[in-house]
Amino acid sequence: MAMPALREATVTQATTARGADLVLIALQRAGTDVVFGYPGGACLPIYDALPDHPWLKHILVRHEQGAAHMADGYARVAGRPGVVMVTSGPGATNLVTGLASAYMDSIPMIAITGQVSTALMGRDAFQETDVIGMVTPVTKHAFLIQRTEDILPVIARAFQVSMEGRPGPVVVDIPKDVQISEGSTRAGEPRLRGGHAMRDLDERAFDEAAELLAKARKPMIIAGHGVRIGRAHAGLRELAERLDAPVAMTLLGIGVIPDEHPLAAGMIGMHGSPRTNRAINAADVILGIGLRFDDRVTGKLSAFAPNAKIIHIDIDETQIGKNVPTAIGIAADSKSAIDALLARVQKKTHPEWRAALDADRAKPKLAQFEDRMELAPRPVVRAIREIASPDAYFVADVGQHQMWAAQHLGFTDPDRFLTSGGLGAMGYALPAALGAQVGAPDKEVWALVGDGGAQMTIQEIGTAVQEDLPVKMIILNNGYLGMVRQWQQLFFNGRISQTPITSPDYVKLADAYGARGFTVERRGELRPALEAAKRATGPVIVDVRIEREANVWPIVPPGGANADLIEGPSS
Amino acid sequence: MTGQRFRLVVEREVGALERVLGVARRRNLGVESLSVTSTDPQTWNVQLHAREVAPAEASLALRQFSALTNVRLARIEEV
Repeated sequence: MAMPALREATVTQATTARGADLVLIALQRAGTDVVFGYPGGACLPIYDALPDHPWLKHILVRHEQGAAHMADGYARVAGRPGVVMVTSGPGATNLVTGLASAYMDSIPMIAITGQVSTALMGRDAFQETDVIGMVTPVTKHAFLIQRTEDILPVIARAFQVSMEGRPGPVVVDIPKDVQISEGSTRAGEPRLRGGHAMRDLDERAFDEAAELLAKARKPMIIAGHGVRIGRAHAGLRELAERLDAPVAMTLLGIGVIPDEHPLAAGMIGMHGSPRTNRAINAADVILGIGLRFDDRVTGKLSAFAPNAKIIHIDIDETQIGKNVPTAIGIAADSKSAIDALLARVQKKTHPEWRAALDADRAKPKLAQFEDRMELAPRPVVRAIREIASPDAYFVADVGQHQMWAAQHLGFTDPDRFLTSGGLGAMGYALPAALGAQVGAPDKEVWALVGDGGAQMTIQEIGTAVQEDLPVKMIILNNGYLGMVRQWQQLFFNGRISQTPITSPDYVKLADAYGARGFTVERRGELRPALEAAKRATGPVIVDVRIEREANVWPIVPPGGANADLIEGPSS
Repeated sequence: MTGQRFRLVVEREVGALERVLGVARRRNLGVESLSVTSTDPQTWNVQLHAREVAPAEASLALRQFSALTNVRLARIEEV
């Protein structure tokens, strides 16, 4: 039997190789060194070839949805596409939620799906699904490889498509016979067909935007995920200071300007700060960069920013004018756009505007209610922040705890908060945290989850144990699907329907998987448990029994205008 | 018959036409007719006749067609 290294050399130096080897060679050429996957019949040739490519680390997940979320978390932290490898049929169908989440959040990802052999396709073969048809709406692109010689150029092209312009997931579906056949290892560069390279900057539009900003008396900036993806936060801060314009952030824009910066205005939208939402309502010019103005940001569209002219800059031209009418729309990446504006705008001051905003700072109305609670959500989140390392990553699942995390963790760095912002996929946090930990092995990674989302992907704690990934999973456990319960309470006449949910004993569960577990039921137990989690060298679950009926405040009623937000239980 | 006609040059690749139809569906273009012809082995010429839609929606649809990886050229004309 050939030794792996010898076999690897043989494979990479040969003029032909099996399709399965070509897949792995293509990944190597693209700079991939880790894959999140799950083997099965239609990708067995690739898994058979895997030991011959020891440079590639494979993380064996417990469910394919977990693989996609792990690749997502990895990509956000490592700054390059996460790679997933699964089998046909259920392997591919299980990916869909993770692909859709990555698509909506502009996360680069490559998903290699095994497919039944070409002779069986369309015959309802065992574990056959129409992968291309299924994933098309939730991916940037999807390729079906029908010839072995196409493997190298198509996978190279898939990486290119995933990264260029607005990033996103790309699926490469490879039938089993294509994996088994021989093909050339010398395939050339990918055919650069289609292609959507960014156009030259529209200088005139930037001139007009600068002119509008110069005339503004009440300017606001709204920064989205595009600012983080474009590594434009330093320029954004300079631009905000130059314009004397407060910066509101979307959920995925959190951290683009440090919380303590005087121009940081906090999160906008459904659970944004009242002060920020009121400021947007009063602004006369809004500069939106790297966001799509989705409904969670705008609230009722017809009432959004009624006094403002909107300048919208996004790398994705199809977002401009889609949701809000724009005075000036510019298709450009955030960094180039901000640099172009910095070259045009002069220093401005708006003392009256700033003073009005400062006078409107939210009062800590919730404190009186928190005192009555044994474990109120906000102090729990603050304690996590205080105990975690300053450069820790935080991954939030979806629901009430996600909003508490966004509101109260307090970020000084643009890259430390991961969450499924667009799709809102419960079950995201634990696997995404594992991916983040793989991407940043020397950093602390804390996953904040609810007891509903925890039970959607809890099996990935097995992956954490097997791979020895020291993720700290903090379950904010209130015995409810809390956000839905909150909506039932506030907007459905208090009629509680199917939202109370039981949980397993998470300490026993952690123990059964070989992880450590703690339960926190009293204030005094919180910090010792979090300190122990911080010190742990392996995965930890901390089950924090928070106040059962605590709500997320403020909240804009569904379909309502941001100005109509409910600030708290007393309003 | 009034409305807009979208003329697209689309690479001949698995899923390319489905992606075009996906944009038409999500933008609620109301497809009246669709024809696909071929003039060379690499591309399809697609003509999609939509019922009259608001100019802003038609413009957005055109940009979304243009953004598809397999679409080489997209234009729109009033009919």
